[in-house]
Amino acid sequence: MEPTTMEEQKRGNKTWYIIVLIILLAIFAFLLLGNDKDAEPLNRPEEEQLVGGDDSNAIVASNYKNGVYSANGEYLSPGGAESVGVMLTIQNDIITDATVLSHAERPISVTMQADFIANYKTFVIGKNIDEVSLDKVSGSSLTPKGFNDAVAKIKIEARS
Amino acid sequence: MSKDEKQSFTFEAIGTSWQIDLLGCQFTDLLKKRILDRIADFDRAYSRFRNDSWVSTMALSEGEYTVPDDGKEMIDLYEKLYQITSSQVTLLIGNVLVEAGYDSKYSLNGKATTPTLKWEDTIDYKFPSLKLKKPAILDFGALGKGYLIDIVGQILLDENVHSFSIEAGGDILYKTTDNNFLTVGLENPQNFGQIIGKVLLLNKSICSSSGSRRRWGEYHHIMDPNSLRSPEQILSTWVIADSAIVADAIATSLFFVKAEELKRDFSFEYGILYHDFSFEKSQDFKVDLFEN
Repeated sequence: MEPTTMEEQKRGNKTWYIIVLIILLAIFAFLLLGNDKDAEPLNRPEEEQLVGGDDSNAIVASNYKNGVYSANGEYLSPGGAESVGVMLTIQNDIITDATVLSHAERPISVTMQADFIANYKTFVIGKNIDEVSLDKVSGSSLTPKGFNDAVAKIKIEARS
Repeated sequence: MSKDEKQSFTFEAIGTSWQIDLLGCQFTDLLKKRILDRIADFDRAYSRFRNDSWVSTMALSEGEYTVPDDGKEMIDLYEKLYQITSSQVTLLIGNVLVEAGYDSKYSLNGKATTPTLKWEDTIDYKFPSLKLKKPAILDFGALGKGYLIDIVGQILLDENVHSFSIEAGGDILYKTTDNNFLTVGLENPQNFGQIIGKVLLLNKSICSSSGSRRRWGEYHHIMDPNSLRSPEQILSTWVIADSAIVADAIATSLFFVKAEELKRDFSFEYGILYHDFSFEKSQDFKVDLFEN
């Protein structure tokens, strides 16, 4: 696979933020609107109603039936419309599991979705040493004077 | 002297800068001499940059040679790495480096074109005997510095010094009897005034490999024996292991093979900085990364 440039990577990341945002909004809307009828979980577990404990004043009622929910998010890639699926497992109103599924049709989208799903990359930047507290720095070996002198000499010769 | 007081001993050796810190005890002149003498012995045997070394005699002629006692651990490890990395980490890279220009005179002007010698065609090794079927420049650069750091560490332990750090050109061994971590920054290979993250070290070694400093023409000092070029996909590697010889060896090996292939035989944690500034690491490489 040809390494992508920083620019392509950044654009790819932006697309992902948008996708995730769309999906989250879709899920949020889905769950908000479909309280009883629409929010049927896929695996039809028993309905549970949680009521608050002895000491608390609040009565906690379960809004969502325990179970697995799915939602599809659509986005526009340079190649056309694509979709990504999300499956959420909800227990006691808490999302306990989330899986992103790829539906990508176009080859580039498949790669990008697979990359995103499989291993989201961490990109790093440098921070000035005098702004951080450190004991030591680990990096490549400081070169001997002889090496640096030789490099300098060659540079001078190259210019003449 | 209190436990917190640090005494440093700095010097140049094997082509780079050293700093040894003793925590809570003093250097004696005798200890300093012992360390410098030991390093000088090592250099006299294994440096390809001096024509009076053991390594330099083997570059001139085929024959049967006797490996010094301290050579066993290194050559055994090189033999193992040659197998595990499918010959990509090799003692026989010396000729390639020299042809590319990284010779004892620092010509830094050359082109590597001659195919790298194969171990099976060149070396017959059964310690203490090393038979060379052709003259060859053996290069111990992949792990020699790490090994020497371990040797110096052992000298200190023998002298009852139990809290110290040894740093030689960015490779570090830190031993202590308490729980004080050493905070080590990971140098930004594109800006030496910066780091890209920090790790905490306790009774471990961290070694780094990078093409960032020894560069000339189209090369840097890490050479791929098959393509006869210097890898450019990876900018730097960092490895944490119990010993510096292993950390140093794996840091180089990661330029050529995936960590999974090395994990079968060695115990280590690692981090890799790629050319696009993405960072890959093992699960237990506990690093505070400065994320973009």
